[in-house]
Amino acid sequence: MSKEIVTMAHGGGGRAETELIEKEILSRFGDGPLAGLPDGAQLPGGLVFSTDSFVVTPRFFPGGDIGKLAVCGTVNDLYMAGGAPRYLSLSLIIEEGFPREELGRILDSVAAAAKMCGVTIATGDTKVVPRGGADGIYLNTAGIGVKDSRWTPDRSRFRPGDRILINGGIGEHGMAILAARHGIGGEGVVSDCAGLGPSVEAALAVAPDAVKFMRDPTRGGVGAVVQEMMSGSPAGAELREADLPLRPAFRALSGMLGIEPLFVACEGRMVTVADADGAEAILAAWRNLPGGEFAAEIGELTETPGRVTLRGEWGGRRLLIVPDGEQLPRIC
Amino acid sequence: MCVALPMKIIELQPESHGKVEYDGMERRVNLRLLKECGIGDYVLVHAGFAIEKVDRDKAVEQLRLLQELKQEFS
Amino acid sequence: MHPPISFWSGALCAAAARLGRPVRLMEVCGSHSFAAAKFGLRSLLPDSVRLLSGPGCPVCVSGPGFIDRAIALSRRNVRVAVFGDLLRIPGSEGTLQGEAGLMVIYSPEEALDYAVAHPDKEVVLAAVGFEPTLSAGAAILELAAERNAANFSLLCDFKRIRPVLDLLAADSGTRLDGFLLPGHVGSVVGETGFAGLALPGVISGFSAENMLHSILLLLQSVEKGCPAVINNYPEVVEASGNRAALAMIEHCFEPGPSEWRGMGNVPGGGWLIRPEFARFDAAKRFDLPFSAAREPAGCRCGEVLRGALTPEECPLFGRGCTPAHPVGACMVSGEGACAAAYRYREVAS
Repeated sequence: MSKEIVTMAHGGGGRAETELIEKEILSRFGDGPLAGLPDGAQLPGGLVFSTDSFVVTPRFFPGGDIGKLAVCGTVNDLYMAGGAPRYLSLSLIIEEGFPREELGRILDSVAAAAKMCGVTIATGDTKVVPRGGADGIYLNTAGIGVKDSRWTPDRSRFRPGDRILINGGIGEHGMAILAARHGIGGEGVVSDCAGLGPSVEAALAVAPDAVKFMRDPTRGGVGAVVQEMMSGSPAGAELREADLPLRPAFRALSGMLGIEPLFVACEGRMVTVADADGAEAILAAWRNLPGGEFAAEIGELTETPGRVTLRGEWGGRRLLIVPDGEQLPRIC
Repeated sequence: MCVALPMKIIELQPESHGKVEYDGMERRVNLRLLKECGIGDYVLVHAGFAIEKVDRDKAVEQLRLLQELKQEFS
Repeated sequence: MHPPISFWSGALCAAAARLGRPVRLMEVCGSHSFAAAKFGLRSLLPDSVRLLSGPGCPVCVSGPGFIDRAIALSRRNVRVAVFGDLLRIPGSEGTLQGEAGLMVIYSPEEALDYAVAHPDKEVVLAAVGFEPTLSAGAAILELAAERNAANFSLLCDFKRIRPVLDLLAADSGTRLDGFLLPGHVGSVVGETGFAGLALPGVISGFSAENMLHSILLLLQSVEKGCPAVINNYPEVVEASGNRAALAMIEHCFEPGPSEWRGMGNVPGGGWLIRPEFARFDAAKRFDLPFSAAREPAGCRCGEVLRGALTPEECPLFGRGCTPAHPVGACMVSGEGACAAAYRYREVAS
């Protein structure tokens, strides 16, 4: 019997996690909707299905909390899978001793987020574990949506010259969390945690045929998501460092903590691949949304399949290399 | 080494602390490594400590010298 | 706004042409290594001008023994607080990542505050660095004494770069013509901290333009043949530095011999906690054995750190030693010469 154990690295989103997923999950469940690990499963009957668990600390951060995240995270996965979210389940695992008042605040937040995203909490479960059995509270949401007839995510449609777009500034959620952990505040430091409904609607309203793929850059940030998107696709991509939108407070934060925003999680953003004809209209539509000033075109698709490069601010072209694991504050 | 950022002191606090700000980002910082400083001063912040004052006049002068250099060349 | 690339490559080519011979410059600051790679500054330099990365990355020069000691502490049920830089650096048998009780901090005050709030726990701040971090280290020792934090101590391996600059200037193997000097170290030690170097030096900040300007000034200095130190970061570097910080350093630390990976034992190459603060010295408090940790087989970080080998010249670079599977610290640390070279290496379109 193997004495191997699961380590933090296996949840870190890098090589170790890939190995775990391949060996333990795909090996057992990889036939069917799970193949290719899409954001959401496409089920017969025009349904889209997705799930995610939420363990973040601190549980409350500028711009949101674990409750809001739990709703928006799954709602956004459903949108990215080409669905319109309708219902969520809500499961709670609560550590003995957890304050009822905080539980109430988290659930109020779940309710508010569900209302804002237009979804109903349809079913759920609550478990309490002994002290030490969990870090405060863990949430899981699973969501069901209805396939949106206007578009389907389809990477086989990728062509050189297609544009890579994003609906706002990058790295905001991850940096807001780091900021909260290390006593950094300020009115500019706010997570972008939000439902993607308005951005998806805005894009599909003006150029539904132009949209080929969308993915929310959560763990690993825009860099990781673009790398994943191109892997196994018929095209490559080049991102332009000078065009990555970054709000001033986050530019300052990245300078203070030595963090690269390109690889930091966003929770209210979608990286969108659209053909050149529709890109301008989509950007204009996003810029009309509240908080949309930072929507931008950040790159385009290239000839070399699977290869992602980064054009530096000072010229020069290098390979995009996604760092393993979470970015942490550096002082050196 | 030395990830550090110039930030402006916006508040002085007891026991050699202060609040610094830059572009809408704020943090409490320890000022004990500086002999004296006041609200409105810019300081270089490293690991939560202000390690030196930033002389903005000199910063402006540096930019001017650079401009001159570029003009000379062209 | 487009960076004035043609201006800089033109100006640097002109300066190199006037010199009329190959020139080897060295930067000795991890943040300079990182910035040079990220901005692709080397592609703006003419072929006759080489910018080497020296031993300016504190986690790289500290060696695996420091990590081993931090891990040993963590296994003794001590809460070890570190800056993020140290987390994935390889010790002899693994990294700090995943150790129980580990705290990643941005500021030493977070560790001290935690210690004061949890008097029943032993808390050790494990830190490496040069003068900027050393200043924070001195401040935190004074604060720990003032707050009587009996459960707090510092495990440190602070390095003093000045003697190493002198060694490198004299090293016939490295054959240097000048130094790009670290601006934030300079903010603490001042221009006087670099006085008396045998080679010309320019104290530089960290923006692309400031670094390019500093390199230009350095080439002009090399041409004149005059080993002066030019301060090209005067907004934060004064003539005598931050005297209050220097006094605090003096109060808590004294220069002493130190192992620098790649350079061996350097007299005066480190900062040791003074006996008056021994109760806050984790190495004494916990009686940690000093292990002369072995370098991994084939690892040539030492030569890279001395500038004797470029990252690309190391046989393991990109073959067996990559950011994903690093062999030595130069590849693990985000600002190690090899990691910077690997991440930011140019590819053709």
